[in-house]
Amino acid sequence: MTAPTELRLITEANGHDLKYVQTVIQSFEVSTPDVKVLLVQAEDSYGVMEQFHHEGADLLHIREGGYSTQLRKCVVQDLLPYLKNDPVLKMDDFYQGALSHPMWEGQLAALPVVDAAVPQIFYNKKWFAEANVPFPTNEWTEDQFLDAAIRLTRHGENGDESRYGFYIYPDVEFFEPFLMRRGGRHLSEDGSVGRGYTDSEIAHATYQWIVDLYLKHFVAPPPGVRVDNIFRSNRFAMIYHFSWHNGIAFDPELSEAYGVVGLPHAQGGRDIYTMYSTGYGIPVTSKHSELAWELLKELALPSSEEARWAYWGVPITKTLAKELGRIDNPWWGPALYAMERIDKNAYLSNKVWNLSRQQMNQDIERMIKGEAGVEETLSRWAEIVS
Amino acid sequence: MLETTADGTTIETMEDRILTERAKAGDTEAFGELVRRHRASARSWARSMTRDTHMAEDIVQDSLIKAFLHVGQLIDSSRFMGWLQAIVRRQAQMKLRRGGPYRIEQPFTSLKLSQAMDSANIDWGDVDHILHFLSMQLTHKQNELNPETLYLRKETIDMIQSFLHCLNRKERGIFEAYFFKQWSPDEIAALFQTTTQSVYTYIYRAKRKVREEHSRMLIPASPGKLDQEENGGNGRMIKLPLPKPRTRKTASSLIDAVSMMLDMTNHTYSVSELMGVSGYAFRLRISGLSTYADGAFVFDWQEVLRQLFDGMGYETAFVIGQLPDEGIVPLVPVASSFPFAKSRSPEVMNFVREHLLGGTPVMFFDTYVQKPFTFEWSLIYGYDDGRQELYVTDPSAPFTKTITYEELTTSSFRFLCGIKKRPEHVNDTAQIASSSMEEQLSRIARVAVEGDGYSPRTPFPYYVQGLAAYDAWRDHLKRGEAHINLHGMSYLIRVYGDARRHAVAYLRDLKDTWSAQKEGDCRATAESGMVHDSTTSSVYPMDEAYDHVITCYEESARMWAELERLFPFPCGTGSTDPEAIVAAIGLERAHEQEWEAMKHLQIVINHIRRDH
Repeated sequence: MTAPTELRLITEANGHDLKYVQTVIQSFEVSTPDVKVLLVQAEDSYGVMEQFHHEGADLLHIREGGYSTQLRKCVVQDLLPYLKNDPVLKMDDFYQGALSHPMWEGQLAALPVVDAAVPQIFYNKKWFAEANVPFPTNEWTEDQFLDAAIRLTRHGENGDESRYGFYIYPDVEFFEPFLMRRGGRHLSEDGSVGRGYTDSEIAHATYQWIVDLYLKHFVAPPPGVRVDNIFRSNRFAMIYHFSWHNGIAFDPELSEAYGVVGLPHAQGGRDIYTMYSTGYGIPVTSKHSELAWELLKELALPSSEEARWAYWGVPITKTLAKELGRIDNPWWGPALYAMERIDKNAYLSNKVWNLSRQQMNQDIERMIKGEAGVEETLSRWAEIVS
Repeated sequence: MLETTADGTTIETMEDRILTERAKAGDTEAFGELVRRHRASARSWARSMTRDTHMAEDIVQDSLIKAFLHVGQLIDSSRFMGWLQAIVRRQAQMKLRRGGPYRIEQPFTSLKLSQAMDSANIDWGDVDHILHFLSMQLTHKQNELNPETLYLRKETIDMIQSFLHCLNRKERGIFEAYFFKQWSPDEIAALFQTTTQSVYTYIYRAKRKVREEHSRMLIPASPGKLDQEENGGNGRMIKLPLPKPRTRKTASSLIDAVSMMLDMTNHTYSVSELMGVSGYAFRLRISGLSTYADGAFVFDWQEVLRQLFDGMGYETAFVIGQLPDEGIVPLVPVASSFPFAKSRSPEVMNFVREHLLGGTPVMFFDTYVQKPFTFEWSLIYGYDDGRQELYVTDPSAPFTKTITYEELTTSSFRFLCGIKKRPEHVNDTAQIASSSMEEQLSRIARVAVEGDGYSPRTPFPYYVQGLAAYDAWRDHLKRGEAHINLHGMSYLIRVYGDARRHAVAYLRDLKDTWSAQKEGDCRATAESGMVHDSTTSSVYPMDEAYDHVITCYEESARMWAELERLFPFPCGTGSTDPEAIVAAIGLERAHEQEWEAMKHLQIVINHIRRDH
């Protein structure tokens, strides 16, 4: 009896993601009994590559910032030939973002696996109803958003008693969709230039609009306001967050309390979204590329019942979305809509920008505390990638 | 390889599909024939995109190399021409962009070659560039047509061979087979009776060693120190004596390194005191994602070291940076607050030399540790300019090693710390400047309950610190196997269990110091003629409360020791459910004890405040 073929998969997944990967592997091993999958968990991207350099892999977990790097360094193969020649998968069945996100220079670095997320606004239905503010729809505008935020904000004498119209973690990547929907960008498309983008008129106007939420309209909490369990805090009428949190749809209390909607439209802007994803690629050095592809297909688009039950994220194909009952679903509709309209963030195209995130967030904190101006800050940011 | 098959078909008459199949199997002549057939088309495509003959030639060369390296992945052998065209188009697009994606780094397989391919145009300072040139696949016929290329290759090989003494025999054999003879990894694996994956690893390591050897030419030796003689060396070597014995005094490598640095400056401090004053003894932090080890590393390194050394009369100096061009940066929650730095910067070695010449070692964040460690803090205690090597401590036996200058200056995460005794403190005895008892106890309470206050300024990943970290940890265990990283958990248990033992020792030492102070105060009172009535003193309840704090931490330390027994470091993978339940109970008990300890500590603090 020959020994089973071993596939080595290195992942930085944890929690529900890891559980999902384990479930898929179990199903895969049942359906392909002559294959054994060795699952290696690392803490982060650094750990993944350390493991890979020491012991190799057949499937490699790649975070979004690494898609272009791993293709450029010829660590992973272009998956497009596999996809185009696959007897089952159809490229036009994929949501636009699912393939464009891990694409670089016409090559596909990875298939996103369960962990694809888009920004959304979760709104407190009860507060909207009490204040007689119409529920937001996917056609809502920035003006309607601001109006709702102002009408739903209440300030108590003690800061802890305040109810805010809006919560967003003050983060450059979280703010970026607002800039892009207004027609601006942080960096040029290829990520090489910041001047003329980060410090453009559109960027100034966008960041001023954001700062005004804090300093002029007082609809968002000042930095330093600590919130444990934001959805249960009962302090925010609207919460900007990502579709990772669509799991609240399964919580009886939270699903009753909240609805979800896409981002507001800017006048004359673009109806686009940003996305986070992680996926798996097949290393160039894999000796079992075809088998690895078969496992990757299962990870991205599970066929077993058990794996589908464990698939908690945004589906990457329409077929899967239909099979999971997520089309025409109020909880998933906005996310699937967004998945067809993805444009790439700055962090995907420039790792210096990516690794400057903490420093930029410190600058953001200064801006929304009124300690730094928008123009001077964006002018400094424009030099980051020089 | 046969040029003529059994049915009389020659390589020149074979159809593309068959040639491609052969090329995929490693037939370099078949690939050469494909190149011969399609080179003109490739040139034409490139020229139509760039309108520049010379640039087009570069693009074609790059594309052919890329095609050679990746032909094995071409699934449909009948599509070689279309596949080659796609490669040419991509190379042309990259070249046409201003700067291009290679502005920052040049991956081995994508380097551009000079227009005229003479030695004036090859970047001899870049080993990757040289090796890339060597790996160009040229057909036998083309070699004959380009004698200058042949000569250049010979010169290049000779030059590279002069560096190969840095490789061991097997590494050298594989390196020469791959770069000089252009054998495929499969062929090399067969020759060396190993796996193809192993061959790739050898190539990767060998390339790195050759690069380091080559870069010795780029890194200057010690300026102006040729007359200095140390340890019988040639004047460009310093090696500070390490304290004996050299076993680690604590699992917290930062504090262990601090302790060793101080020992080496003849100022010995108790490790428990260092652990206590720094807050390390009472700290608890864990990732919100899983029981990863990174929780033990996420805090403000500079601030902790600065405050600790400041209390001992030392100035601190740092060289820090993140170097994403050198590879993936570890510990992003910490690293991304560091400025960007240049690799091979003279500043790094100058910093090391300056401090070692001054007689003090340099602490650095060491990413070159061996498994089961991922990274730790180590000490640089010597350097050798002749060998371009640094003498460094290590967490694993034999607890010392060497790393190269190249390794230090190209690490993607740079953190070095040096110390210098302040002139006014040069003759101080080994005492950490003592803040008041109230301040010390308040600091303990703050760190233990709330944490050290440090939080990365990004929403992901996130960490829980202070006593709340116990709850987060238990939540991970309750959620099951997918939320538990055994290796990380065993590391955290090792570090925090050790910390709690030092917490007990520190609290006892504080009590002794405090008692001695009180005794001194009482004596002074008696000598002054004042009567001190101990039975009505407020000291008793305070003493009792303080003793209770110590007892609680003793219990907590015992719980942690039990966890260490269950999860000895390093823990591998495996089912964890029963152990997870036991661990959760142990953590809950430790949590209860520390919570109780903090309640009593607050009583002590309140008493002190009232008495003053």
